[in-house]
Amino acid sequence: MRGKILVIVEHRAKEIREITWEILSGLKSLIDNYDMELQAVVLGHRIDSLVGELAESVAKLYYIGDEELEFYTWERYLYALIPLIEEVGPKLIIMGHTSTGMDLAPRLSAAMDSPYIPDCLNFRFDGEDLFVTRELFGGKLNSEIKAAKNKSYFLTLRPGIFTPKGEKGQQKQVKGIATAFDKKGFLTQFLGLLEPPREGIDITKADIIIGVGRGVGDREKVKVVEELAKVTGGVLAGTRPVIDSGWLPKERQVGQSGKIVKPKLYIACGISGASQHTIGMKKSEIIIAVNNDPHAPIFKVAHYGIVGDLFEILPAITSKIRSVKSPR
Amino acid sequence: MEVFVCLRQTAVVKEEPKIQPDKKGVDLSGLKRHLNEWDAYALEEALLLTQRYGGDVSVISLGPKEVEDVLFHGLAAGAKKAIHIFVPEREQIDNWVIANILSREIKKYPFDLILTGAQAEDDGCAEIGATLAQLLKIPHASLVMKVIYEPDAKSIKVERELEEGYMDVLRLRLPALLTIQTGINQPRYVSSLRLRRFKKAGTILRVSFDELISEAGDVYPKKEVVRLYPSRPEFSKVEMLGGSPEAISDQLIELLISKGVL
Ligand SMILES: Cc1cc2nc3c(=O)[nH]c(=O)nc-3n(C[C@H](O)[C@H](O)[C@H](O)COP(=O)(O)OP(=O)(O)OC[C@H]3O[C@@H](n4cnc5c(N)ncnc54)[C@H](O)[C@@H]3O)c2cc1C
Repeated sequence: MRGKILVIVEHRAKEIREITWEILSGLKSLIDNYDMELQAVVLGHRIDSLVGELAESVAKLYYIGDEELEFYTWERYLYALIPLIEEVGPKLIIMGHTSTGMDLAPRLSAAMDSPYIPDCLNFRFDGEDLFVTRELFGGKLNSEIKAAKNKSYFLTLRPGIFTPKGEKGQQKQVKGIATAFDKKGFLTQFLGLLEPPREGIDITKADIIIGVGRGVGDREKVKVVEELAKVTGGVLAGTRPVIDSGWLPKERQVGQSGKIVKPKLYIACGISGASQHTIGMKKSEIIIAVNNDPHAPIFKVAHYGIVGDLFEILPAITSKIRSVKSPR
Repeated sequence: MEVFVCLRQTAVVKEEPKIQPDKKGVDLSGLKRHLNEWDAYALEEALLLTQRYGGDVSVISLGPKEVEDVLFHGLAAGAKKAIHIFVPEREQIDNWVIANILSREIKKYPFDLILTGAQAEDDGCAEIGATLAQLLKIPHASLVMKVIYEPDAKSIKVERELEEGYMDVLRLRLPALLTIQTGINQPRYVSSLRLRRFKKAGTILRVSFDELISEAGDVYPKKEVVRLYPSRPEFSKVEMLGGSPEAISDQLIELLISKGVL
């Protein structure tokens, strides 16, 4: 396969987001066998320092600068990107499966009448045909998908599966692109960026985290997990549904839309292991998972697994630790 | 305000889903089905908005006969109209086709807002909402956690969730489409008695998929499943601890002590 790959860069608060570095590194190995040129486009306002950094990592960088692009909105990105993509003619247009990718990629691909495959783990070409692998049912099945033949394809890649290697080369060509926005025509107005609230405990500082999942059943039963937290000196954290249901406060949410934690020990109790959760805990030093479903995807990231009812397993562990810590 | 909510019915899988012999689909027979988790929050948000500002909620779903269960759920929860676009289970249609068909049907009615769930539990694509908005040429916001209606300006103010606790605040001109994130509200409980009552007496408007196709032209999938296969944990990488709860505890504690965490 020959052609260009165009990566749409993500940045927030004057920093390039990790996902962009992940994609740039991941792509280098994915396209090793193809004669493809890695290009990127960054949209923003007064981000010259970011532009310099990026230009060392790709063959060619497009920079679309405009005060309207200081913050991401689907609309300004869409109108700025369509003419560029038409002109450059990339085979693949790639973003991360992030809040930005989920918001923009389906819409942009629809506007350009191109196939879009979200949340991919990889891709490959067989002749002219594009194949990708992605997950179904929260990671229980893999699905190999073939895109209908087209001149270009849109993909989002799953965050957290490629490791940024930080290879830098010579600073390459940067091509500035001007915009021609019809500002009055915008239907979406950016009003502000809210920072994460800084209240409550900071679970990212904990050495031991006991993770509560929906499998715990209800708020009352969180006590069973809390007992384990007490004897281990760990703190309680939870998955999104646990926070949504009010069993634990928001600052204890682990995952993509919560906190990224790397404790010495993470014990996942009744957690299925959805990618949006595991991205927040899979770098923990030791991961232990308790789940009554032997096929739960959490066992794909755990180091030690226990298949069983957490209401039988956890109390046994708790009382054992108690007796070890205070022997009679 | 007139609000449409797109509902998807998803299968509840425990253990490992059964793959069909041709490896292109999941055998759903015998599996419980329910309203997609994210869609339950979208439905609730629509009901809350119309309770507060007036107007009605319509629910729409595409799929086999079984999806009428989620439409009845919508009616029992407070929606005034339900539309079913019938497609046989086995039909290979992708989210692009679904979004096109939904847009053709919804276009026939006046609306201020369309809500969908942020993603579906089964395919996790998060694709239909923004695609539908593009097809209808209306603004959208995804992963929405707060909606404030501004009737005088014919707009809404929304907060949409980004990563790690950041939020965008946006104003969208109506009509608009929002994809709703879990946690925005607490979906109401619908008793089984009430649900049964609506299943008996509720009305669903049935629309033919083929008619929507012939009215506005063919639309083809842009992707197809080639092969499904189980994504099992690699038991070579994870060490499984077995035995009685006591035996498991013994192994675990020994391990934690040897690793220096206890
Ligand atoms: C944009 C976006 C962002 C998201 N951000 C996050 C995030 O930051 N954090 C997050 O966690 N999720 C996030 N999610 C949600 C995520 O997709 C999953 O829905 C969620 O992680 C599932 O939580 P869970 O594992 O607790 O629940 P479930 O998936 O319902 O799993 C419950 C598990 O408990 C097991 N179980 C049940 N009973 C028992 C028992 N008695 N003993 C032992 N095991 C039992 C079951 O086998 C099952 O595996 C996000 C989703 C989206 C779309």
